[in-house]
Amino acid sequence: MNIKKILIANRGEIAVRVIRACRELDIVSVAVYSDADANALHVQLADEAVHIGASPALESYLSQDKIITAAKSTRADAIHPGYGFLSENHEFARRCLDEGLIFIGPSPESMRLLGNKIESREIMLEADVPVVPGFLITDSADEIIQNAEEIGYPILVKAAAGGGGKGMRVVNEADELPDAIESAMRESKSAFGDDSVFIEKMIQNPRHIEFQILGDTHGNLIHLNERECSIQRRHQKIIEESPSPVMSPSLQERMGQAAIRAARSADYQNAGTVEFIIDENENFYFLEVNARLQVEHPVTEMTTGIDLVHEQIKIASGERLSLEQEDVKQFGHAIEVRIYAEDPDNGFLPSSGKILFTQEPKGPGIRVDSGIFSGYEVTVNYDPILSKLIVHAVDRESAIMRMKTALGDYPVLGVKNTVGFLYDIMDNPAFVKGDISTSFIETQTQYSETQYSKSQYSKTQDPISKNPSPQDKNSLDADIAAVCAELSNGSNGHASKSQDISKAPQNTEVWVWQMIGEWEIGGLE
Amino acid sequence: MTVSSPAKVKVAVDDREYNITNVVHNRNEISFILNGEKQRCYIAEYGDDVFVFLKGKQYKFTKPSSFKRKSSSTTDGSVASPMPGNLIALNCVVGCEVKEGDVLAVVEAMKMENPLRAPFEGKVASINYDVGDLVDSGKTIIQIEKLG
Repeated sequence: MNIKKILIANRGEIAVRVIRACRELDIVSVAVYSDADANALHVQLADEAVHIGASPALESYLSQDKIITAAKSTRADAIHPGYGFLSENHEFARRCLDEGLIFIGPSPESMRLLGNKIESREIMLEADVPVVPGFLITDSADEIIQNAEEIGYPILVKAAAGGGGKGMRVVNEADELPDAIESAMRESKSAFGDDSVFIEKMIQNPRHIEFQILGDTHGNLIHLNERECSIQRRHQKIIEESPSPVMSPSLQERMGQAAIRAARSADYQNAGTVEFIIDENENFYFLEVNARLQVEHPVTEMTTGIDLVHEQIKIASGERLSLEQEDVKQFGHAIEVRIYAEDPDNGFLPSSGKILFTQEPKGPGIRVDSGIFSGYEVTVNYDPILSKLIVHAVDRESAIMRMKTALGDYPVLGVKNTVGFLYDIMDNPAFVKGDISTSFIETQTQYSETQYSKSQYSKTQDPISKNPSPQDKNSLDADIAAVCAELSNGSNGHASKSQDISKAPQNTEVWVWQMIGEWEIGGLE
Repeated sequence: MTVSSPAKVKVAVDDREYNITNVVHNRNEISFILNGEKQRCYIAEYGDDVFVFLKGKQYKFTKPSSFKRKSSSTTDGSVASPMPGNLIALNCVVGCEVKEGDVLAVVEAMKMENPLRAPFEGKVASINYDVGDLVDSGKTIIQIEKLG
């Protein structure tokens, strides 16, 4: 292979994932890091590491100059951009090529086309790929308001350069539109350096289903089946699975072919994802192409047996795809959940702090892609993803059981995170039935994407819990946790202290624990 | 360090008592038997706080002595950010009259924006930060006072 050394222009779990692939392929890995990440896992694991600047992403992971310089100075052959940061920046891909570096991803021209929502819509229409109705864009805010009326509310305001829900707003009535546009523009400017926005008719309660594609530089293009990513908060995915609970062979064939047409229309090379939304009547619409490796790529790896990062590197080095469409198989069922440093009881707001203790679950069919460790400091500088837990089992029901068990054995202590929320979802009857849509969290759980807590009290009255007496169960668990806390104090340096506890409640040394919910709400001291 | 106690241990939680046996404490793991059922938890301590992971859920406990009641913005009129981040917008000045729910400021962290709203109708009494400042969670950014 002509790639002997790869610089990974990313951080966190995805940088770790790519470093592992490099090791397997006997390729030297180079990490880059900001001030905040000096002790990060990807820096520890890479063969070499280059400090590229201050903590804000604009001064480090988004600085094209610094990353190119780091690649040149370490004599890397190629750059793997991961996801986020510069991964979908066609100018960066172009610069890599100009500097004689291989960019592990599609060509700059494909990226430019697909990154532009207006142009990509046009080429999709030409390629007979269905698109969402009521699309429109203009540079003038006044025109947007006028045209929104014609399309009819609710509508979505989206960043033209966007993705991952950043810069996206739901607007239910005209009054809300000016604020939504202003804030979408501001968020888009800060996230992507471009403040153009567009609006689109909102498809109510859709499912989000996407197809993984692989294309080589010799014109071969295949899809690796679908991923269902309907469970989202703030329009960002949090649980993904493959196959989709609603997929049939005929729908898979139709959507898979549409995905390949979409990719071919942009002359797509390397790994990518064609995203669709699909309504209750199996009408599907093209959303966008993510011209990069996806966060949720492991569910495809688990169900097809294909290592997508290996394939990316091989394609980038000019090799032909080793598979044809009929070689792609689907085994069992895989689910991925994302562990974010966020507070599910408080509108999924980001949290920060030190991870005091964490331990990954183990067992058959369990995979953890993680960027954290005990003692790791979570800062507010970057996306709050901490790790991903992926399970694979013979069918969906077994995969859900396996996921629940694994989550129950995945402590991430000291920082608010989504483990408990995800654990609840695995018990949710609607989820277990596969009855999900992008509004699942708001409509089928006690959690809210926007509200400040439905509080631990409403949680104990959770009508959807399958436990016959959830109230008793939850308060007993809280008491058991309190007992643990008490015991930990007892044995903290004084093993005999646990004997003292037996004298309770007369012993005044024993703390009376304050029951303040699963967390002291808001984390305010 | 493993601490194993075959003895019966009685632990009080509020006004409830639990009799437990077979306590095994090994670094960040504690297990014991309660009502014939084995319980396994993970724990970590930080200052006066103890974090416990049990059956998928994280609990945080704080010693009563160090647990200060936080003021509630709906009663005292302080507008604070629930997360640390950058103050990216201020929509009011001292003396502004505001209605309940008005967005007074926007704090951004990890590319996510969080609007801070007025807890009740009133007047802006003070503003403690400027746009561009880094704000801690819980610190009063804007103080609202009731009119009249």
